[in-house]
Amino acid sequence: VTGTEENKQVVRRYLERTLNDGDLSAIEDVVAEDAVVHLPTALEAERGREPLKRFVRELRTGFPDLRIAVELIFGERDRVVVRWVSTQMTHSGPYQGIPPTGRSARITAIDIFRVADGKVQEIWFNLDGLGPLQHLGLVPPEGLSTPGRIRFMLSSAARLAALGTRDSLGRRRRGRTPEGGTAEAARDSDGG
Amino acid sequence: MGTVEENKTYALRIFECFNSGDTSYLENELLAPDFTLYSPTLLEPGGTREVVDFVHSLHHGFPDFQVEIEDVIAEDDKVAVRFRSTSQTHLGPYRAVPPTGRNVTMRGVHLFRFRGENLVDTWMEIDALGGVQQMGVVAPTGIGTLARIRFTLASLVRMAALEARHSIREGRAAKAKQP
Repeated sequence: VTGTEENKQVVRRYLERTLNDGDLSAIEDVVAEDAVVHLPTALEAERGREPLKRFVRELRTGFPDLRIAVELIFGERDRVVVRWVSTQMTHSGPYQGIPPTGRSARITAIDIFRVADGKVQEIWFNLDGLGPLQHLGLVPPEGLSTPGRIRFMLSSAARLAALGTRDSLGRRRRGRTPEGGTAEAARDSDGG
Repeated sequence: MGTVEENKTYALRIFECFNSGDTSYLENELLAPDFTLYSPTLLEPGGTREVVDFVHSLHHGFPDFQVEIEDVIAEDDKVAVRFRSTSQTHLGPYRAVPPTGRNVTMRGVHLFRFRGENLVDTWMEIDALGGVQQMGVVAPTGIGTLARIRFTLASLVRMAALEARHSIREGRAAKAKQP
């Protein structure tokens, strides 16, 4: 059977180029034009390269120093399974409506890729999106009781308001438009 | 070492335990003494106790919990299982969220590593963010700062109301049980 080893190489290179280097051209190079993409939190699959670009941009806009390491990679037939973890991830840009907190986060993932003819045909991105929100102090951490959660959310809303105010004042001072939203902020930093 | 096909069979049996909520097969047969669990919900890697707690808390939070396996991929001593919940109504407290009554769908991939007839490592990765968004307790993906603040405040009020309702019900149930 040809392919499994090559497929692993394709997937490893894809993840390193996109997530570590922010290299969006890797998506053009490696992913089929009509690839099926299953993104975290989305219940419906999407088609094409655009959702993948959006995903990488959003992550790297929020965490520009993101570094990931592949911990496990294996495959069968046209499937490749990859377990990766972040090794560096500082929140220094807007992420999910959260102005930069300067905090350090961590993310873990187990993704599945379907590869045929040297191209990625389908991706199931499966990662712990809740973890980073907890590390940034936006979602209560594990093990809190409900009253603890409620107190946490109250202080979180206050903190978010303070961060948002500081962020928009800073932008106004620099003469930029306030409240850009994630998509525009992502486009701003899309240098390649 | 077990064969790839044997390992797949073990992996399917693990999911039968997740669905039934009965962990005796895991505790008494499958898990190696040095079994290790890696999950984002654990600050440090866990062992047998953490897996048992995981299954029980799932069934406590979602009494109708059932998942469907969508893909199984194996090589050497490792098996990956991709799944999606088909029935998962939030009727009990789960991870400090009082029951919302909502029906959620969670997707995930778990990885298993076997040694002979034993499971030695498990890596769990569930789309928990998708789940808590569906419960309405965490803001949806792609929201702006102001909307996030509004959401957090509204969610706060809702949590307090849900918690109050839950406590009242628990109190009534406890009273009803008294002889």
